Amino acid sequence: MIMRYGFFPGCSYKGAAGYKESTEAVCRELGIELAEIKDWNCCGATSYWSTQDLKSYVLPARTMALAEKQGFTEIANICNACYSTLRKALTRLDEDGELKEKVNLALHEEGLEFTGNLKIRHFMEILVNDFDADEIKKHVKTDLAEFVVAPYYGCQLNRPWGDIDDTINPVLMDRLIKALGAKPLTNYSAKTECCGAAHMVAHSDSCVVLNRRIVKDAVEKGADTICTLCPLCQFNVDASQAGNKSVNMPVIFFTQLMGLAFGLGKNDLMLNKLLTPFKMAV
Amino acid sequence: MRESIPKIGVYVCHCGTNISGKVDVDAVSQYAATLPNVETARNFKFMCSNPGQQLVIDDIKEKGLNRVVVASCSPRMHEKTFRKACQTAGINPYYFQMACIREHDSWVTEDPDQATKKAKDLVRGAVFRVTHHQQLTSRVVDINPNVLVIGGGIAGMQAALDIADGGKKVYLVEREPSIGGNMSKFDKTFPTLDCAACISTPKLVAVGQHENIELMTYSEVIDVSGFVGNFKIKIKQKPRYVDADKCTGCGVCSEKCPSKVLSEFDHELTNRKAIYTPFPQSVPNTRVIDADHCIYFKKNRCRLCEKFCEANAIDFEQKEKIVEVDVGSVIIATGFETFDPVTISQYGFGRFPEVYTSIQFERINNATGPTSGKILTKDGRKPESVAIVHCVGSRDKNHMKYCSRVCCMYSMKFAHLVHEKTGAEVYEFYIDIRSPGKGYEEFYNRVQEEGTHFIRGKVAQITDIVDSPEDRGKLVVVAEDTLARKVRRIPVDMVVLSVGLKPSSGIEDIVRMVGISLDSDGWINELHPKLGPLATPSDGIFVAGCCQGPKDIPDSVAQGQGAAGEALSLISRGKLEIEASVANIDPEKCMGCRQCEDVCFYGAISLNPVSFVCEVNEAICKGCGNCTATCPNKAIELKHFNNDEILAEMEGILFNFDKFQGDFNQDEIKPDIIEPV
Repeated sequence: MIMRYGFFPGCSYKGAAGYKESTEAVCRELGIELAEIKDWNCCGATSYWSTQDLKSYVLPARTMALAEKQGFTEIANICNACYSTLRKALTRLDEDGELKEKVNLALHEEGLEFTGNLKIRHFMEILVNDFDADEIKKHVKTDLAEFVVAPYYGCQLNRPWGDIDDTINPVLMDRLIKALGAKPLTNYSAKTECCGAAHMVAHSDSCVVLNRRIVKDAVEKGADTICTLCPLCQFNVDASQAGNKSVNMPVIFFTQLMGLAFGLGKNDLMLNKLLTPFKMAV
Repeated sequence: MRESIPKIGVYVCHCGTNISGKVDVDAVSQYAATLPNVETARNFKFMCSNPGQQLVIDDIKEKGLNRVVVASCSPRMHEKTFRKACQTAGINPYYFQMACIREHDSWVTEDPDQATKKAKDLVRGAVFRVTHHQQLTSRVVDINPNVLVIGGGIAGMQAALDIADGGKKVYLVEREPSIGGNMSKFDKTFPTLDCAACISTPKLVAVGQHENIELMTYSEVIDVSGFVGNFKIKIKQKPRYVDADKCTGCGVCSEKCPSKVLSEFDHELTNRKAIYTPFPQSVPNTRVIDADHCIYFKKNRCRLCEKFCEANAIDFEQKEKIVEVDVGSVIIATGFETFDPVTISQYGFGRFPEVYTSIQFERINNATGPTSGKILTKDGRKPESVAIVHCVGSRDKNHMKYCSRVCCMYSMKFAHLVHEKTGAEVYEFYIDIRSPGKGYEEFYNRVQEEGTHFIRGKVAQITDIVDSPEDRGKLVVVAEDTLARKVRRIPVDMVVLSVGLKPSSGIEDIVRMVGISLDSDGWINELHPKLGPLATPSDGIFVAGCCQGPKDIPDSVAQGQGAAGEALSLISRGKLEIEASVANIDPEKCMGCRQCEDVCFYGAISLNPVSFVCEVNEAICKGCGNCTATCPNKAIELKHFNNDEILAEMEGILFNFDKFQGDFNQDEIKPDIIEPV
């Protein structure tokens, strides 16, 4: 049976190091259809909220309204920022009828209507909650038993809601890593420390310090790789190691880890796009 | 029976300025004088005072009043006072009605004109109502001198001992296998630093040996019925699987038992066996088998304890027993449990082995605890630095919004003990230090002088991420120091979370059984926050200790003694007058549908199988009115709250006097302006 979800790729999906390729490959393997929402737009990300009020709601609302029109009840995201932006907009519009009316006034120009009758989800959470771990295990071909993976969740996946997992010490991805036969680094304390997100551009000095903590904690506790679920997290943590010869901690996407476990090929995973080179220790 | 012509006296109270500050009391009393059947209307500074009551008494005698209305505070405050005054003057106490113009009016109305108007409305309602009042007689019942105490912590033990010393019989029910409660887990007590075991163990022994105390441990109260002076209590005695009469407490069974269980008493820092006593000084010393973890009960083999027991005390066939006892009053002393900090995941409790709760740290400091009283990390090191985090779970809108009162003091006690035992640096992270008590502030000063670092700031995070070389192998406590205005990152070897107090689990069941309520934080509502701290709205039910709110040992002991005093005072009265306002079923109208029986909380209604009508046991009925409202045939009348009385009151309150042109004292007011629904 093919599982079908409305899919919001977001602006960074294609550009991220092998995220698109590996996600598509994993979906083929597991029989998942991520049906792209036609004519989607940028979610506005986190920076837009603080400067524009109404417009910052219209952007995510438009994508959600499109999804509704195209018959989706759930939107799968692969980016933490998209995921939290859509969820924040959904929650706020649900609480504030006046704002919802204004947003819909703008959307009516295009013949769209946002009702809020849908669920915003992260693809990683979908894999853990909608699929049986045993089902995923059936696809595993490579033995990753000695491969220690530090699960890096970032800060936006589960805050402020705390409904799909604990806000400080989430374990969803740990379950996925276990299902893939690898060893999750369970005492990884930096798993929800902030990577600085878009501040990496304007305040790179401060952000590099943040990212080096994330890497260092993984190194100290003996991880072979850091596994992420957001294009910006991946880029920041990966890029922060540039110019620092003493560390060499590859930062991969959870879909790439799945691809490795499923024994998928080079072109499916695109690990060569990572800044810190990835070499399987096993 | 009703007096032919009602002659009403109306008295409007100033309550200092509580009422007169908002309500124009002169206007209200002048207005009252114009109402029908009102003979006299006055206002007075304090109606509840002796001269105030005398005013009522004198008027009744001199002017021949036969109805009295006092407009003052809530009937919960002073209804009894004025009923008594009426009785003294020779009229039936139920010929009195109170209009609440303080709680329902002056305290909650901003505009003085509106407040005065509302006071007039309420007085008019009371005047209309009181003309319909009937003479009622209270019932007198005997008081059973036995007392039930629920909970064997320090408050419950103290209450039981005082009552037993006074020569009365006490049933002390404790759900754990031993009495002693939380206090028996502690090491030293603040601020005097005397040893908790040294002062509480003698009490445990005294309770266990007292001839007037029937101790029921490993037992739970499952039902309370009856009323003040005559409660019937059902107690479930869980099977210990050990014969208490034969067990000598030698402990060989525990030595031989192969099953290991995390100890509840040591808060999971050690293991106990499946056959055990919680702690060495347990009272009673009879062992108990934990059937959930016993190999015999799980796998039907083992029985090693039975093999080695020389006294033949093991009895796997023991069954749960239900015991019924009769008592005249009940003291609830169910105490507290500590907040579980797992939900505050940034503090890492459960993730980092060196993060402890305060109650675990009590066990670590205790000579019978996991480290025999030495402060050591789990890998056996003496800590060089210890952080103590205040207000974990308390004063936090995400968890418990109240202050738990004892944490500042016990945290500072810990600081002292850590200094004394290890010489380590101690960091206290606090929001405010609260040390109100005899010798408490002095103790705070002493701990400061000992070199404890006090950092004012709520801890944001406890982490093992290494940021600098000195963090290695430590836990870093991160907090904003709001006095120095900088972020502190302090590496320590051990962290103690000073967790707050919350009501014991199961308190909801107890309050439901006795018909009282909990406040929004889950503690028991006392009768009056200042003047009735140990009584409850349910007569004959008293509270003591932490079940009413967080408190320290001296306060808990004081409450235990106070509650004992309340119970003894009730017993010495011997007989008790019971409210006459009870339900009455008209057998001519009752069709025996038994809906009233279903809604009666107190079990006061039963079906007479011969006449096939329901009957009210007046001794048990509390006059709540549930049955009256439920009865589809309108067969039930609640005395003092019958339809005439309630409709007259509503009529009075709703009467639109602006449009009324006539004279009240003429017969223009139709008694049935509102049709009964």
